Amino acid sequence: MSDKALLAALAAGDHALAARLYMETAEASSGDDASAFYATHAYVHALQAGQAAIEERAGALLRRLGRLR
Amino acid sequence: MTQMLSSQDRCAALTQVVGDVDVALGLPNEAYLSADYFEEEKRKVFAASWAGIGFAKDLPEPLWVKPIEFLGEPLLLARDREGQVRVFYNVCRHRGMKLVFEAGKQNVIRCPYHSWSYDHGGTLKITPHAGGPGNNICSRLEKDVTGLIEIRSHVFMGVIFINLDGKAPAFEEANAGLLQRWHEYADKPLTHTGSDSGFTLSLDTNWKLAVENYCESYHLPWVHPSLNSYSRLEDHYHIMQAGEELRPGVTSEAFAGQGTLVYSPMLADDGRRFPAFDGLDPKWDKQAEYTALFPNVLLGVHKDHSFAIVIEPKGPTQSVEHVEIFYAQPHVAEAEWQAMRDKNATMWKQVFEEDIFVVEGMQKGRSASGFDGGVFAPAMDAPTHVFHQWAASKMLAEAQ
Ligand code: FES
Ligand SMILES: [Fe+2]
Repeated sequence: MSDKALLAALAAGDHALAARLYMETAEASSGDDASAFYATHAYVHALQAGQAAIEERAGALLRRLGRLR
Repeated sequence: MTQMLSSQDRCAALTQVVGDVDVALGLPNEAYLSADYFEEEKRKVFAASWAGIGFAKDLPEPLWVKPIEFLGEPLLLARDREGQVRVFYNVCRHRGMKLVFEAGKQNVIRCPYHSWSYDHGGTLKITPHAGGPGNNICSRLEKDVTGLIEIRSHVFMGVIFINLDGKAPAFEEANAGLLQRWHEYADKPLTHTGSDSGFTLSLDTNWKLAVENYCESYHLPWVHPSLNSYSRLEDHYHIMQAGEELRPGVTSEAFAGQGTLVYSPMLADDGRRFPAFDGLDPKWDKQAEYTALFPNVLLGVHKDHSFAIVIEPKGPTQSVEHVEIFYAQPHVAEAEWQAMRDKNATMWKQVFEEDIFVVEGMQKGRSASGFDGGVFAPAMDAPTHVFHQWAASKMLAEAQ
């Protein structure tokens, strides 16, 4: 994930893009903690953007790691 | 000089208000002037009953939210996914951050502080990192907090009502008398046509003076001479109903107002009329009624439109009236009705503006320390007295 692209997405209030960027990072991260951290952010931005697909993907990842009910 | 009564004197003064109309006095000056009395009213009058706080049309679709303040409390109006209006305290369950700052449609209610996120039914969707970075599970939360604090709410005639203390009878029971009287209007869909059908008025007066002025027709020929051209004083009748025990321990609220037998203003030169509500009794062809739903909502029904005024009490001597007009049929929103809608709104605005001078003048009069609350002319002021009785007995409720 490029920090620049992410910060630009957040500054523009583009939650759909932020959700996608966070999710890509979560899926590319090797450790569980890092994955879960980014997936948490992907989940929150997906909720805000109404992006059900990413919400589901992030939710599934977090549940698999025991980080979300 | 602000007049503060001792609790004994206040009790005596309020007891005098609830007496028969031919011996009663009106509420004492302190009821209109004192910050302490106003604080007590918040609890005993507003929180204990069904108070109007806004309009359902301000949440046009599911997922809309609107933050408001009512009596200093931050509240959040929301329309949930199923289309139901819900009211919550506008405060996050975590560290008490105010949640929503702007009205609009949003997919989730996310706290700006640590991003705890709620759906429009108030349920917590996620508490990010609450169990440590990347961990969204916190057993303390799961045990104690599942979502926003909801306030009992009900929508009636376009108005959102809440019962803050949660102890009033259900809305339908509390207002059984009015619902019965207006059963033909109660469940009809309403059409709001936008900003051309609403306005607000700021008044330097206590909220009760706006209510009591609304309950009476006595002032019509003097304050609203233009109404007199089609609606003379002798064509008006009183509306007043005491609360009734519906079943043991459950009593409906009193209500009061006035009606006219000759409502029929000309709004178009060609004699065109707004279309009427479906299924009304023919008596409504010419009749219209204006009733206060205590404490703070003023309603009017006519065969072709209704209106609602939510009085927002801003302090002992300040109020804002939020006025919205609703039409009986959706096609009245179309352009061909624009001129008539404008004329109707202008007519009502003029009427309510004419009342400002008297409700503010009565407020000024309440600073006369020798004034005793005033007398009621029984033939003309009985509905006003019903309101005074209601307001006084709410204040007396715990003392007795
Ligand atoms: S105060 Fe709302 S999330 Fe912390
Ligand atoms: Fe009036």
